Amino acid sequence: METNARSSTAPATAKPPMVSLRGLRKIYRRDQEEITVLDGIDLDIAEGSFEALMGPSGSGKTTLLNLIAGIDRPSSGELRVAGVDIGKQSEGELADWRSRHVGFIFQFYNLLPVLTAAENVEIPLLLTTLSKSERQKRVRTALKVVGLEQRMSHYPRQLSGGQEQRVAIARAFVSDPTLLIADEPTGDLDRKSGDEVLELLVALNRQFGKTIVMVTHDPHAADRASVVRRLEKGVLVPA
Amino acid sequence: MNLPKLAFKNTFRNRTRAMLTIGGVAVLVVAFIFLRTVISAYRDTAQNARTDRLVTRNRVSLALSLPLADFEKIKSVPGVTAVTYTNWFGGTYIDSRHFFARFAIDPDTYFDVFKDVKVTPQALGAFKEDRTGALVGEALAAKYGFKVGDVIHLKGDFYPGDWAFTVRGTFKGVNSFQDDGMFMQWKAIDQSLPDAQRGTVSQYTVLVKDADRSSQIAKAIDAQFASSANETLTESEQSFTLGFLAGSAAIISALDIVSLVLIVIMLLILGNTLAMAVRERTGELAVLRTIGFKPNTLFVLALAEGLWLSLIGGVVGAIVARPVISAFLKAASGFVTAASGDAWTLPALLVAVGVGLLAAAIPGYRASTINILNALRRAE
Repeated sequence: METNARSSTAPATAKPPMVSLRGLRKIYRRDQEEITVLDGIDLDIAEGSFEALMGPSGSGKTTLLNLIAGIDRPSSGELRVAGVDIGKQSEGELADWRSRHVGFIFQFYNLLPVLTAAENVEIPLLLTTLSKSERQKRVRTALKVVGLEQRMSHYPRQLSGGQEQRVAIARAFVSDPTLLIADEPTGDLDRKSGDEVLELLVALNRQFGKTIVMVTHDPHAADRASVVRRLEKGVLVPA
Repeated sequence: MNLPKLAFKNTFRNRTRAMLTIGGVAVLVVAFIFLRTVISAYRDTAQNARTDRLVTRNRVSLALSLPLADFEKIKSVPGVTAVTYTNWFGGTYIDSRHFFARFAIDPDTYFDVFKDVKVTPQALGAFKEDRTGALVGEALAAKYGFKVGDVIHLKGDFYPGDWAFTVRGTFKGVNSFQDDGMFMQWKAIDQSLPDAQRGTVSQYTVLVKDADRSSQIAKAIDAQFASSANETLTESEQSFTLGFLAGSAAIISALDIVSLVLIVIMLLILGNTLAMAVRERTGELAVLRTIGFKPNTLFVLALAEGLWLSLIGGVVGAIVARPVISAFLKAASGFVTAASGDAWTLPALLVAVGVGLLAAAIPGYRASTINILNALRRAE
């Protein structure tokens, strides 16, 4: 396990890890050729940590992120997240699991253009049994946390890139997931907007105790994480 | 926010396409209701005809007449209760646009056979008294404002010349075909013919005691005139009406097929729109799947979009269809029994909704089976 942990934000080690990978392999087959994307990854991510995954393009960092998020399946190895061996779950079980445990932040925000900011944030809550008023209360709180309470009824086209990403972050944590997964969250933003988004992630980690795993190419972004890990050619190397 | 609202918002994401699709569905629903009403109207006309009444006509053609002398022979056939005869007068009132049925009848026997045609004794008495009198159907009287004493001028065709008939009363017909029609005396038109052509009738209508024996009685009537110069063909009023409408049978069958084709076109229009909508939103569907939406929820969302499009199109079509059908039924009341256009509104809506759901099935299946990773990559 190769890490670069900062002592000031080091996670508590007494708790069982939020993410535990053992001998994780991911192999893609193209015609007769086998491409090993991840080659025997062993990794523990502690609850409440903010980890950055770095590495060159094609190193397997997004694949690893997708596996942890439960939207891809490993070829072999153990993949345990929030105490569940998600590698053995059915499609339906995985969908349920994701709705309860994972909040996903995409590079290109991926908001639904026909919905307002509030409606976009409310989407994950449609999968819960919360009442309408409870959902609206949560949406308002989430948008307040990201500083967009005044933009609730704005459509994505009426927001800047940074604001869109903040709405996407609100959508990711509104259902109070166990784990936040961020794939290049600042990759499409200017430095100022990127910094605002990173500040927000740090706040979610420190104030709300959210475990965050972030893939990034940007060392400036990785600096905000408590742990930085580096992947090269499908294996973890010293950061 | 809820799932139906999400589906509704997605439905109108591309407003132009949604409105065109809804317009297409609406037009097809109007056409479907119209065609089904036309078909029903023709079929109802035949089905409303009675089975205890027989129609005897010239076996060779409806255009050829029968001698009046056959009247007594037909009446003498066992099982026959009453007999009457009629001639189709034809003619023109004002111009060809003012069409309505005009029959020359024998007032002494007609209402014994057509007991379901209601006329007051006073009106019938006045009609019998006046050789150039006329009885008009209540619907026709209402349409043209005819009242007792008015003179109706007709331009003859089968019976050439200018004719003038004085309204002596009204009657309530058994169907709109009759109710929108007019009776004059058979004797009046017979006397206008040259001597050699007199004493002929277009058809006899026979009332039988027992409808279950209609077939045997019809054969017995025809047997009376077998090998004569004017062989007869006797059939139930229902069969006769069907035969009379047979000229339209091929068209009716074609309309049947066209109405099915309309459903197929609706399926293709909706299917195309929904397939495009799902294809364009692959990335968003992948995002929903990532968030935790199950495959069957995405399938239901696609079905809901199909439902919205077809339901809105169907309702618009049903609203537009009402005046169209009314205009048709008004124009065609001289030919067919009035049928209600409303009868086909609910079935048309159900067909539209069913087609909408069916059209959404394949796009919905595709939405539910997308590969999240591939779809996310494509979106980026």
